[in-house]
Amino acid sequence: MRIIEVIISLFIIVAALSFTSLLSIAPTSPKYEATELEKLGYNVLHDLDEQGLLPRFVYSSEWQNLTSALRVTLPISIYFNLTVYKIERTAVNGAVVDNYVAINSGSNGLIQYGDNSAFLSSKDVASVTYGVVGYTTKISQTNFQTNYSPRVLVLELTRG
Amino acid sequence: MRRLVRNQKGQFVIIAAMLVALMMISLSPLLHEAATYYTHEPWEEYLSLIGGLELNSQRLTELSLVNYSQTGNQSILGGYLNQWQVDLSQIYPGRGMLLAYNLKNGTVGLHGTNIDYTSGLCRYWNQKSSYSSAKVQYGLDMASVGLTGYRYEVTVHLNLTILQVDTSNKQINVTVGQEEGLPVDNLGKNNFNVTSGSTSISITSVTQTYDPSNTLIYVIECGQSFSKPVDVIVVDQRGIVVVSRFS
Repeated sequence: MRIIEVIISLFIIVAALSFTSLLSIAPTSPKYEATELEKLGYNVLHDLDEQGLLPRFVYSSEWQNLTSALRVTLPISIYFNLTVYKIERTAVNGAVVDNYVAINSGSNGLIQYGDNSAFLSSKDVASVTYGVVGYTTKISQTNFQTNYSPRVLVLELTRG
Repeated sequence: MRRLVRNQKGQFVIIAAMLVALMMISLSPLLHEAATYYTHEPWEEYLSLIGGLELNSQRLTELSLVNYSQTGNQSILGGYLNQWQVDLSQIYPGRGMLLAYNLKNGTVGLHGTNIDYTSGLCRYWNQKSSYSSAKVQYGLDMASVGLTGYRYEVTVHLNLTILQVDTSNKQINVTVGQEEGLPVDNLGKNNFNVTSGSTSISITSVTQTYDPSNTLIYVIECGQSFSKPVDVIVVDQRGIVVVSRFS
């Protein structure tokens, strides 16, 4: 009988298998993976930013133009709702507290497309955050004023 | 040999298992290489977000150079970046976002010019060939998606060279270049100012001509006579200022 030899052989094979498994690829964790809607949201905001349109629309409060730009860029079946926040700093008991204040409020400031109920009823709603850093104001022909004033854009997307 | 085979000791089973194990171990790096060649990294999902952060770093460096070229405030770039570092971690909470920066100090070559940066900024003016420049190295970590040590460099630059001053024809030829080494081609009459001493010289027109060696030349036609030395001030569309002097 060769029982001992077979056991030793099994040990060798198992050891080799466990060694090779060290090199195997761990599957990507789903929590890292952006959904298609998230990717779409980041892409559209980045494209507008790259063209210089996003800072112009945001800092000049051209909400209608921003809505049109998003409608043109996003597929027609995607509903969106964008809120623009500015960071206001206030001192509370000696500590500086940041408050996010929505600046596109009111009926004229709404940046959205699609039915609001779609956001409430849909299971697939993505929310992406994008920051814009500041802008330059032209005071005269040769005089420009720079303003560090970050704006935070929160874009919600869902399928209609 | 026949005696060895008939001995039935079972050593061949072990030898065979060892050979199989050896083969598995030898093949595993090859299989690993093949399997991971096109592996999708988690942070690749966020390339647009990373691109947006790079774009804002570029914009912040630009804003700082605009401010510095107009006011001479050497601490503006460091100040803005400090604020942006703090704000960034709050804008993207839970992402493990960390933006490090290194303001360039010392001499760096750019398109054949040695630029001496202090706190990432340099203003070399009142020469025949003058410039305003900013340079920062950034490092980005986004721990939540496994991105660490992503480095990129931002250079913002504007140079102005006075090629020729023709006082009899009231004409000044200049070239204007930017960070990529390419000429700036979107300037007009409103982007230039000419002074002689303390007198501001009126500009009639600014036209572009192409030259084989300098590519794009701006011809500034002045509305009145002037004498040397003459200063030419350019403000590009971003708001960056450069002052050149021709003696």
